[in-house]
Parts: sequence; C-alpha cells; structure tokens
Amino acid sequence: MIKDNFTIKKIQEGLKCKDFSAVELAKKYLKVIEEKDKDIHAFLEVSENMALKQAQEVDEKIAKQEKLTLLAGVPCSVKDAIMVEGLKCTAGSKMLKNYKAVYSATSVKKIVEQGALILGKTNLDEFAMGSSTEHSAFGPTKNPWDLTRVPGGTSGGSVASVSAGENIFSLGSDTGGSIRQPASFCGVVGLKPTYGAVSRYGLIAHGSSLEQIGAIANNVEDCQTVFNTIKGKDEKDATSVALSFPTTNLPTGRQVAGRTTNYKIGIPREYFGEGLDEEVKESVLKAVKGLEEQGCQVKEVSLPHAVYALACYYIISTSEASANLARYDGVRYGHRAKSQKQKANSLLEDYIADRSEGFGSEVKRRIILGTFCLSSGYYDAYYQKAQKVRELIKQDFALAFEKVDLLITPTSPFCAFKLGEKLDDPLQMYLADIYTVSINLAGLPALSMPCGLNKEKLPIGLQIIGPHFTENKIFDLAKKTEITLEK
Amino acid sequence: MISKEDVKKITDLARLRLSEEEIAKMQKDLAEILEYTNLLNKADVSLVKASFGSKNKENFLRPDKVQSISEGTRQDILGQFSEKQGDYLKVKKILT
Repeated sequence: MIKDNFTIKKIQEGLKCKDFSAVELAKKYLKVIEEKDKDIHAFLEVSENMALKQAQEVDEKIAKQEKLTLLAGVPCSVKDAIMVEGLKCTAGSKMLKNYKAVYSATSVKKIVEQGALILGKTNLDEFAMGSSTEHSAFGPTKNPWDLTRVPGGTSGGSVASVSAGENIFSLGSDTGGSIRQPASFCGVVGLKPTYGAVSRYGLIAHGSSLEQIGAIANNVEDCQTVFNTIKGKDEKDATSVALSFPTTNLPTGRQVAGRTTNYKIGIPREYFGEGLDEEVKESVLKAVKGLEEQGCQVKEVSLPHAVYALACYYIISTSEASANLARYDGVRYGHRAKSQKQKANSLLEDYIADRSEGFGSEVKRRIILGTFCLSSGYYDAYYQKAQKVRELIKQDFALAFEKVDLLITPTSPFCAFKLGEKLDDPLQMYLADIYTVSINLAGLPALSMPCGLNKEKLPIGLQIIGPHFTENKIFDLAKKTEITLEK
Repeated sequence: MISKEDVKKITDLARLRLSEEEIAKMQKDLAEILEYTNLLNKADVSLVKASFGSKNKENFLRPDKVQSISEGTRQDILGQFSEKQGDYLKVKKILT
C-alpha cells in the first residue's frame, strides 16, 4: 500500500521492502495530479511517459538488486524555466509556447541520474517575473490552502504542486525570492542556494547575477537531499563553484553556565518594522523564542541598508533582464507574429512584431525599465548607483555575520493574498519580495520554512539566512526549528 | 519625470511596440517605479566601488571542441526555425 505524507526516506524504505514499485508510485502521483490539478493548475505539462519510463528503469535496477540511488523512485516536477530534454520549456510565456528543449539543465540531469521521476513542468510568472504566478501566459496557479488566493511566485506551480501532494519535491529558481516567497505562502520548505552553489546551465536566464536553481520540498530533510544532489561545479556554468560544504563546523552544543548553547541567531531589526503583518511577526518571533529555549543565543542586529534593497534589486534585475531577453526575436525559435510578418519589410520590423506579440505586459514593463536604466545618460544615475548600493547591502550582511552565525527574518511581510488583488499595481506586487531580494543581491543562501498559520489558516514563512556556502548550517538550524515547532 | 517621448524612445531601443494606450500606462508605471527607486539617492555611496555580483575572479575555460548531437536533436533544432531553406535558417535581407 502507498501511504500519504511520503518523504524521500519513506519512499526508499518502501521500495527496498517491496511495499510498492516505482511504477506504482509514479501512477499514484499521476492520479493525484489528474484529480487535483484541475483546481490548482500547478502543471503546464504532465510528462506521464517520461515518468513511467524512468520508474521502470528504477524497478529494473531494484530487480537486479542494485544499490538505490539518492532519489530513486521519487516523484518530482521541474519549473518550466528549467529545461528537460524532450519536453516543452515555455517560461510561462507565449514567446516560448511551442519551444521544445533540446538539452537538459545540469540540475535536471543530476536528479535524473539519481533516479528521480519527472512528472511534469510547473507554472510560473512569465520569464520568472512576478510575485504571484498570475503573470503566467497560461493562467494563474491557485494556492492549495485557499483556491481564491495566489500561491506566490514566481515558482508558484512548483510550490503548489509540492504543497498539494502532487509530488515530493520540485526544482524552482529564485532571482529575488521566487522559491522562498511562494514556499512561505504555501507552507513548504524552499532553499535558495548560495550564488554559484548550483549550476544555472539550462535555466532560462532572467537576472544572471542574482538567480539560482533550488529545491522545494515538504520538509527540511528532503530539501537538503535534493540540494545535495544538484549542488557542485559544472563546467557549463562558469559562475558555479567547486567547494565542499563543511559539515564539521556545526555547533556541538557546548555547556555554558549549565545550559547548552549552540547557534548565535541574529534578528535584523529592519525586517520587523513597518509594513510587517502583526501575525507574521508574532509567529516568527515565537519560533525564535523556541530556539532560544533550546539553547540558541538570540541577538538583535542591524542591516542599515536593507531599506534600499528593493529599489536596488528592481534596477539591477530589470537591467539584466532587458539584456537577457534581447535574444528572443522569433527567428531561430519562439513566437512568430504571423499576421504582421507579411507587412514587415525588414528583419528589424519582424523582430519588433514577434517581441511585441510574444511578451506579456509585466515582461515588457521590465524590459523597458531595464533598457531605461542602462540607456545613455541614465546608466550612472541608476545602474551604476544600484551596483554601489548593492555593495553596501553585502557589507551589512558581512558585518552581521561577524557577530552571529545565522539570521532569522520573516520570508514575506504578509500571507498569501487574493488572486487579482495586486495585479494592476506593479509596485505593490514588488513589495511582496521586500525581505527576500537582498539575499540575492548579496549572493547568500537562504531557506524559507513554515512556522505556523494565521487566523485565516494561511501558512506563515520564516527565513533563515547564512553566510556564503553555509547551507548545512541553515539546514541544521531549520531541522531544530522544525522540532521546536512540533512541540 | 519621464515623458511620453522618453517611453517611445526606450520602447524603440528595446525593440518593442506599444499602443498609445499601453504607452500611457507604461509612462505611469515607470514614473511610479522610478520615483520609488529615487530612494537610492539617500544612500551614501561615496566610499564604495560598484559591485557586480560574484566574488569569483577566476576565469573558467573549457576546450572549444565540436560535440556531436543526435539526428533527433538536430531535427528538433531545425524544426523550430521560423523559416528555412533546406537546413539553412532563412531571414529577410539585412543589407539593402
């Protein structure tokens, strides 16, 4: 029998004991998708054949008594901005509606090598631009906790699919909070790794100096297992780094004055001020209190330039996006404006027609904003200035990490909002990322995990931030937090 | 303040076309967002150098060698061309 509330570990045990086969597992989850996804719309494409073929291979290996690989038989999904060879990769855009990926992202190759079953591609805001998944050209995803609300974004489909039990984990990407903010809205765990920890090869580029592929799962341990699978240097991504992730420097719980102390946790006061929902604040501080009772030291710290993070982020990310999205001209692949093509007399006219038809409104807004910030006469005032402020934001974190091991903040200032609520007001939408973007600017790792529910029974997310390449510390504290919250 | 003409000029540079209605909306949105970003003028950046992301200063190279792909993949790539002649990508004349 296949039980619910599966974890990667339970799946591996079940496969070992022959309680079920990988094919049975794939079929079970495909059925869940069939039943639930009509309402949730987490998936843009369900890859039944691929999943069943991968499951058969796992079963054959089990029959031959080969050792189970790290993710053997584990059903998963992949955000539709990350390429899976043979499947469409739309980036949630009309521009790439029919685009078929001709190679797989390195992170996808790695999970497949470890035996994961890819059930499909998940919905996102067009080209990963948004905070609610409402900017998908293929319709919004709904929050499984309340179908009248957004799942967050941009990895909204990935997060909703995990939250709804349609699969065990999902690969998402995070440019300014796109894994963590939706994870917080849907009550799951999501990690944005250190910049360079995971290869970006095969991720459709949006903000190249900011984004990382990361793991979304129902619990910290599964998230860690997936991260361990996808991390590492890749010769196809020159910004990926060959580093070992230390496990030995975790605090061992030394006895001080009769109490066990371990992590020194910093609470940045700028993240608990104006604009933060009272229930979110209470819930996060309650979890911190629990950790303090477990022996962690808690200390208030200051990140004085945090107030500039969002403005800085929107200048840098849109500038990078305007350059990255210049490649979409409809010539080699992508949307072709058929009706206007006949009228057009030049290649340039063709480009303009393809792009104007293929891109949605938010993408156009960001391309135009980015083009403005990089244009002659404005470059120094906007782009150059933002890059300088970025350095100040980095220095803030470096100084804070001289005093504490890790930081805890809310992931988002509020819980999941209603569909349509912020759709016509770009600036209000951007504010949903106010606590996540600074981490991308500084290239740091950060994880969001659920820490309770508000009165409306909506999940609240807590964010743990660490110095570069301290993912293992973050996971360790997150596990402690999980235990604390269970009590 | 960003003018309608500014929006039109930037839109041209970005190789996009907007309707008059879209230009008006874009002008309003950009004005709002840019006003918000003016916040950065309060930051004292006199002592910092611009940071461009990664601290990684090492340059990674890999050998530039031809790798074969399967016929299926080749056909998938060719099949996505907007126009072609044989196996060649066909575009409008660039030099006139």
